[in-house]
Formats: sequence, structure tokens, C-alpha cells
Amino acid sequence: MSGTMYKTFDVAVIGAGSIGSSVAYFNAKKGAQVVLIDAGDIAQSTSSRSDGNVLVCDKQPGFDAIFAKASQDMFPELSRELDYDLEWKQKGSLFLTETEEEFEIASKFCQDMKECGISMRMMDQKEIQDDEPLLAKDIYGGLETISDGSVYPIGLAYGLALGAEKKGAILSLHNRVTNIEKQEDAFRIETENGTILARNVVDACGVWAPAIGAMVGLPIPIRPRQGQILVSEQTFQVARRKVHEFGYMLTKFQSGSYRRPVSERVEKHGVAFVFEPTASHNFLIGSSRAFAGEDISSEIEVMKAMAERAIRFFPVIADIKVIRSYSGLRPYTPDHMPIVSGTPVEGFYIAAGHEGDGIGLAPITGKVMADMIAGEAPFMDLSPLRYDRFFSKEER
Amino acid sequence: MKREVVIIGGGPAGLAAAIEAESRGCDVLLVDENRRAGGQLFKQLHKFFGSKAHSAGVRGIDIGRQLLQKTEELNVEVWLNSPCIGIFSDKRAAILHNGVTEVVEAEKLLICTGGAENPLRFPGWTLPGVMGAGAAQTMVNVGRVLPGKRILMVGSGNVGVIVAYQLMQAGADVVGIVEGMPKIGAYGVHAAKIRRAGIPFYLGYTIKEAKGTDKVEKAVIAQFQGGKIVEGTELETDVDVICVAVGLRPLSELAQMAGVRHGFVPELGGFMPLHDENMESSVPGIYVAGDTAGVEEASTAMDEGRLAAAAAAQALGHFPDEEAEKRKQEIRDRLESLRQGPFGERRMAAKERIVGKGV
Amino acid sequence: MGTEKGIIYDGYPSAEEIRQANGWPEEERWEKGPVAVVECVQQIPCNPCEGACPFHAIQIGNPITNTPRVDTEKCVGCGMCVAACPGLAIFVVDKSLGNGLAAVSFPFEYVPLPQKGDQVDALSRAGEFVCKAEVIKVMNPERNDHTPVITLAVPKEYADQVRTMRRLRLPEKGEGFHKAEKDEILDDDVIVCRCEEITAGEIRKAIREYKATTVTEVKRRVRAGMGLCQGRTCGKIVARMIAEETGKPMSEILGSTDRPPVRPVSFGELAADKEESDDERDNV
Repeated sequence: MSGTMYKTFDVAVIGAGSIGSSVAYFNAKKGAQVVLIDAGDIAQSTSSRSDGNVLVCDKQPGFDAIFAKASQDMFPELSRELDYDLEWKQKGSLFLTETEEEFEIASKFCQDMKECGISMRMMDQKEIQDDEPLLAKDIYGGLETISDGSVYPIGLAYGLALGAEKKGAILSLHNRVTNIEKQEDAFRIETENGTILARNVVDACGVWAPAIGAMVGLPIPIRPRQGQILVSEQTFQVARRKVHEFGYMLTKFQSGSYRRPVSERVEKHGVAFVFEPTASHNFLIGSSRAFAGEDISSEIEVMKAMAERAIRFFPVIADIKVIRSYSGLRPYTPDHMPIVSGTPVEGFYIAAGHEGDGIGLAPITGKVMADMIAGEAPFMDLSPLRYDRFFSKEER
Repeated sequence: MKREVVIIGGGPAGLAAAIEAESRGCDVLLVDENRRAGGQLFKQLHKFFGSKAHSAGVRGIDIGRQLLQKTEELNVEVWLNSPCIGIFSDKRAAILHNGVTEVVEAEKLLICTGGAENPLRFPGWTLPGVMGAGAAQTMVNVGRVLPGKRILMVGSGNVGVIVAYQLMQAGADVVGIVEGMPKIGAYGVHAAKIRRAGIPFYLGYTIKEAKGTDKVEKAVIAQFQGGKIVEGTELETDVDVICVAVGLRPLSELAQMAGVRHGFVPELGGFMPLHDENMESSVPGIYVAGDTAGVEEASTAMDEGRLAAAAAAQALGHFPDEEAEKRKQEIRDRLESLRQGPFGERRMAAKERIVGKGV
Repeated sequence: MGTEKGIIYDGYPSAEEIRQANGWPEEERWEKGPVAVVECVQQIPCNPCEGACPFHAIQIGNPITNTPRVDTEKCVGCGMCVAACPGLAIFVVDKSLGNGLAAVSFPFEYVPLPQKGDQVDALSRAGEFVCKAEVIKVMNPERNDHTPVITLAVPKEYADQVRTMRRLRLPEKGEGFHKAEKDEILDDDVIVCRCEEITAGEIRKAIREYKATTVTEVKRRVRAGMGLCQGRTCGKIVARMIAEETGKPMSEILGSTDRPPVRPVSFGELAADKEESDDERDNV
């Protein structure tokens, strides 16, 4: 694509990660004329550096959990609908509790989640040992979430982007947006390859959403939060489903006064054990979190901490080989909730800030964004995702 | 753990660098992933070219022995069976040593990880018996195992003809050397050894297919023009090994990981880390030498290693400026002489271009 | 094997190339006794022959890539240069034996070595049979460093042709190349990424239908390069395929991001730390 496109698109989606691709797909599905623009490739950044989780287990009871569940419920149909194999697997997830104290917190959490309609259950020591026989023998107990699953994250973005294209959307890849100007009846989007006109713009640039927002004068409170992952060789089944430590919840939200019994290295890098089997018989080991700007190089101390933590839960992992590490940037917001919202600039929308949930929340985000642009009522009240929640009344 | 100079890779470049740096008084750690340092030298049973200063006329294996002996005399700290698995910020190298991943912080880091053979895709290339010429050379000269009895060599560069010769020395029959270009790539004297033994060169030919069920049984070759196989010119013969010698490329994963600026330099094997006249990369304190810094020969690799080490020793304050400059100039002059003539001039021009542009 | 002559086409130098690069003894010099014949016709950076000659009869000088020239008046045919030449490109020819015979000495690095008195096949520069010949000398002193020098007596008229002998105990010769039978092979079925078993067809699909333009983009779409070797084997093949399909130069296609570990390491080895006190050097 080059030169000025004189046609005015209904929707220009900027950012071809899982979120942007989904927004493009669901808008195109409604019959809108869509252009999906990215400075690089489909799924070039966060989406290709994630672990493919589609979880409700790590959400807060209430809106957070219900929104996530709605998204999760869309995966079976989506994986039938799209041409690209999403590798959707719904094997459930298992939270491990290391201590009695953790078990108690988890039991309360389980109760709250059940009240939101999330299918969860506590498992005692014997039960988890029978279920996952390679677990360390001293693990105190667990919390199972039946509906959790995973996809090939890159595949999800491809499937959605190529699906959008099939429904008439234009893909404008390797084309950086340099400026956006709001005109009378449309946005004038300047790109490296020419001008694109669109009545509505969706900023789905994740970590880089603030740069696009700034072009129309909107401050967006998203920061890159780096996370690292280790990839194993292809190997036998260590665990049959996603397994992670309940301490992950505590680390993720940095809430409460609970301190895990972990080494200094694990504590320092915010490492929480996550085990994710993949469709290709490898597994992924996470997780870490750090504010380090846009640096995505791997750090040996974090790698060591993640390996140490993995062995603590599954001693058998010690002899399995690591073939790769990678790291990516989660789009972090101060309240851990994404921004899926219109803005004071009419026609300019934001779908970004999903932190570690962008893969799981991609379908529902795309769907509600399409509804919003079409002027239709959303399936539930989305005010917790509003852009203006970060600003006081006067600032709005 | 800290060291002044950490050298990754104990091939010709790394060994020469370790000797140079240790002799200048640096605190050196040399790591190599193999059971023995020496890299490709211990596979090189032929006598090297060059002048006396380059150990000309000495077999590669003996140059390797001399370098190892010298590192022992100087008490260089060497970790064997110790792959470097990554380089991290602040010149920290993670090295797997005795079952432990140790993180060593280097003041000066020398990356001398060599090169890797280029692959060639053709039907049957994944059959057992199809292998890189370098792999066959390791089998026969280091492992002392003859990979096969009837061998086809693909590629007429120095690696192809030297390995073909050494396979014959070990008792194999070489059925021919196939070369896609219309002329032989290797030094004529190496080609002449092959021809005297009655081995034909098939110029303007390429490998079309390796046939066999569980392993290679036949090779099909065909004429090759304008990058395409000429249909109807196929010839086949029984073989049990097909060696592929279609060039090497710099192995620079560690340099890339360390953030070293790379460039595409076809004369030196393609994508490679760029360096200045001291072999220092765009990351201050990280040096590259040998095939990592552009594929050449063992003799140039050794001198590049010495040059990098001399510069590192100077920067560390162990080597007085005046002496260091003199020493570095002497090495640069030798490198220039090694890159003379029709076989070296393209490499020399490429190196001058890289250094001239700066990192 | 075209019609052009010379070292880069035939694999051995023509008489003209030798004459120009190294010189050739005059007729009267041959009658005086043995003389070195250097057949090193290309400019390569190499000069051990110059230093090996006790009579300073071989000159290279500066630059080191000059081809060696023999001063046939100084040369006594002692043969010190024969084993010293790393390229095995020096021979000693003696046409003064009488009885219509000449002696040709050449380096021979194959086992088994012949013995004095053996009848062997004398071969040309092209490895073709010239004549039967008797081995009259086998020299393999330590200073030759495993490059034995063999001398054959050959009819004088073959002295300029014979340059080696047929190897003894040759491996059994199979049939040479013959015309191949036609068969249909599909490149699409050829595996490119061996670790993940991704075929050329799948990679082409990633480029054509899924719009991959770099090695990394192919990797993300179809997993080529995601396996145990991390693309070390197939990366360059994939790059070449992208260049073929898109016309993009290799310089823009290569350069996927390398990630630690560059060698597989077990989780246990990764997690393990050395006890600080074990490192005696840090305590000094």
C-alpha cells in the first residue's frame, strides 16, 4: 500500500497484536470498512513474547472475573471460525499453595470466585499429588479452575488478522503511523506509506499506546512492565495442565502483607512460578516482572530465579533442558485493568493496557469495541474499563 | 566472579588471544565448550600456508599443540567443557562450568566463537550420510571414524578439496567434486592434489537429490545454470556419504546478544559483527576475532586474536601505549600480507571497508 | 569440465601457466642433473619453499603472494623444498639418469607407502595412467613431517608428464556417474527445519499467504527455527527462500534475534550457583 488512500475507512485500527487484530476482526465482521495498521509485523511485540494464557483463575472476583470469563467462552467458537490453528486447549489450571496460610487465602478466594459463577475447587495434598504425580511432595494443596485454557498466542493474532482480511479489512503492515490529525468528519492518519483517512481510530498499540494517544493530545497511563519466560526442549508430560503458584496472585497485585518463603533472588525479581505446557510438547516457565523501560533483553539472574522456582515445585524439571528464553513488555496500568473505551476525542478509542491478559481478553475486547463503535449497548457495564477513570472530574 | 579478560572460544583466535593477553600481564579466563581447546586446528592435518611468522609449513594440528603448550606454560586459566550460554548487560558472561551456570563479569570480553557451515537444501538432504564437510573432517581426523567409503563432495572451495583429500588419505574413495560455478574455488595447489589422485571436478554442476531409504544410497547431480538445474542433464552414482562444503558463516549469536552492531558483508560470510582497527565492537570492551569477525583462515584468526588481546591489554593499562602501538602495527602488517593476492584481496577490501566505516 | 584450460578449470596447471609463473628449466640444464620443478601458479600468501632451499635457489620476496621462481643455476635438485611445500606442488625431475630413463620425485601422503623396487602405476597431473614405473627411492625422514617423498624411474619421454603414482590398496572402485532415471520430486515436501519438521512448502506458504518477510516472521508463523537448534541449521535456508520469493536482498532478511541460552542447558544447571568460597581466586 502506498500513496494517499482517498477512500475513508470506517475504522482504522493501529497495532496488529492480538488486541488490534481482534478489534479489526470484529469490526470487519460487522461489515465495517477496516484498515489494520502496524509499524511492523502481526504479533511482532508483546503477542509473540507471551505465554498464551486464557485464564480466569487470576482475576479479581467481580467485574474482572466476569469479563475474563466472557472472553474465555468465545475461544471454542473462534477457533472453529478462523482458518489459522489457534491450538486452543481447555485443560484447566492449577494454583499451588505452598503453605497453610496460602491455602487459607486461596480458600476464601475460591469462595468469592464461585459466587461470580467461576467453576473452581480446592484440592488437598493427596488430591493434587494423585492428579499431578511429579509435583514436589511437600506442596500443601491447590486450587483448580476448570475452564482455563491456552492458545498459541501468535496464532491467535494471525488468525484474527487474516480473518479480518478475509472479511474485507486491509492489512497495512510495516507501515509506521507518524501523525494523526482530527478533521471535520474524519481522522487524517499520516503513515510512512502515505495518508489514511478514517472516521474512527482505535489505539491498540499496547505498550506503545501512549505515543499514538499523544498524537491527538491524550495522555494514556500505560507503562511497559517487562516479563521473562524460559522454554524447555520437547519432553515428556511434566504436568497435564497449566500450573502456577498462588503466590503469583499476591505478586501480581502486590497486595496484602503476605511474604512467600522464597530466596532473595526470587523475591527481588518478582518471580512467580508458572508452568505452561504447549501443543508442541515443550513447556514454558515463567514468570517475572520489572519496570525496565523498553528493554527486552534476557537477564541471567531472572533466568536463574525462574529455574530455581520451577524446580521447587517440580523437582523433575532440573534435568530437562532450557532451549530458549525470551522477554516481552506487558502494557501495565496502575489499577491492572485495561482501557477499553471511548475518549474525549470523538471517534478516537483506546483498546490497550491488558498487562498479562491481552491474549485471553483479546476476543471480548474486539467484540465490545465493535459494539461501541457501532453505537450498540455492551453486554455489561464497562465503566471499570473507562479511560476517564484515571482522571479527576476537573481533568476530564 | 570477575576477570579482567574473558575469552569465549579456544580456537586459533581465542588461544592466540589468551597467550597474548596473559603475556602482557592480564588476568585471563579462556572458556571453550569442547573437551580440548584448539578448535578447528586439531582437524587440520595439512600444512598451513603463510610465512614463518604464521607458522607456515606446520600442520594445523601441530600449531594447535604449540598454542596449548604455551597456554600451559603461561598458566592461563582454561575452562573446558564449558559453553558460554549467554552474554548479559555489563559484559557478564554466563558459563556452564562443572554443572553450574557461573556468571563471570569481564572488564574486556573477547568473542572468538568461530564459524558454522552453511546448509544446502535438496531432496534427501536430511538423510543420514548427508553431512557438512567439516563434520566429516571431525569424524575422520578427530574421531578417527571414516564416515563412508564412496563420497561425493559438493563445493570446490578450500574446505571441499582439503576434506576430500583427507578422506582419501583415510582410505575412502571420492567419486567427484561438484561445483556450481564454472571454475574451481580452492587454491590451485589443493585442487591439483585431488586431480593427481584421479578425482574429477564437475564444474557447473550441483547436487540435485540424495536418494535412499534409511540412509544415502545414490547421489544425483545435474548441470546448474543461472541458479537453476538444467533438466535432462541428471547423472547418478552410488555413494554412502554426501559432504556439503558451500561456505561458512560467522557464528556471532553471543555478539548479537550483547548488542554488538552487525552488518552484511558477503565477502566474509554474510551477517557479522562489525569492529574497528583494534577488533573492538560497537559495545566498548567487547572484541571479536577469527571467523566470528568474518570467515577467513586460521592464520588470520590467530593474528586477529593477538590484535584484540594486545588492544585489550593496552586499554587495561597492562601494555604501555608506545609498545602496544608498535605490537599492534606489526600484527596489522602481517594480516595485510596474509590478505594479499587474488584469494585475499576481496577479504582485505571488505575488512578495510568495515574498519574505515567505524562501529 | 569445460573447454577452457588451466588450473581453475582442470584442477591442474597448464605448461604455459607453469612457465609463466615459476619458470621452466632450459634444455641444457636438464642434462646437468636433477632440478626442482615448482608448479605453484597462483598468487597465494605462502613462502616456506623460499626458506627451505639451502642454496637460495627459490625466490618469492615481497609481497609474500609472489609466485616462486627457481634459479635453475643455483638449484642442485636436492629436494629439500619438496616436503616443505604445504601445497605439495614441487617436484624434482632428473633427466640425466641415462638408459633412456628419468627420475621423478614427488610428495606422497597416502598409506601404505610403496617400497624401493616396487612396480607401480605412474600417473599424470590429471591422475591418468602414463606408464609402469619402478620405485627407486622412498624418503620419509622426520624433518619431512609426514610428507614422504617417492622417486620413480620412468622412460625419459614421460618425465614431464608423470607427477604421482596410483595409491596402493585403493578402495574398490564403484561405477562412475551414469545418466539418471527420470523421477518426479517435489521441493514442497523437502524438510527445511529438521527440529520442528517444517517443509519447504509450509515455509513458502508462510511467505506467500501469511506475508512473512524475514526469518523471524517465518519462525513466528510456522515454527521453523523454534526447535532444539534454534534455527542454527535452517536459518540461512529460510533466508534464501525468502529472497527467492520476495526478491528482497539477504541483508534485510537475516538477523533474527538470538536469545540465551545459545546452548541447551538444564534447568538444574541454570539454577545452580557456585559456592562463593570455592572460588579461591576471589579470596586472594
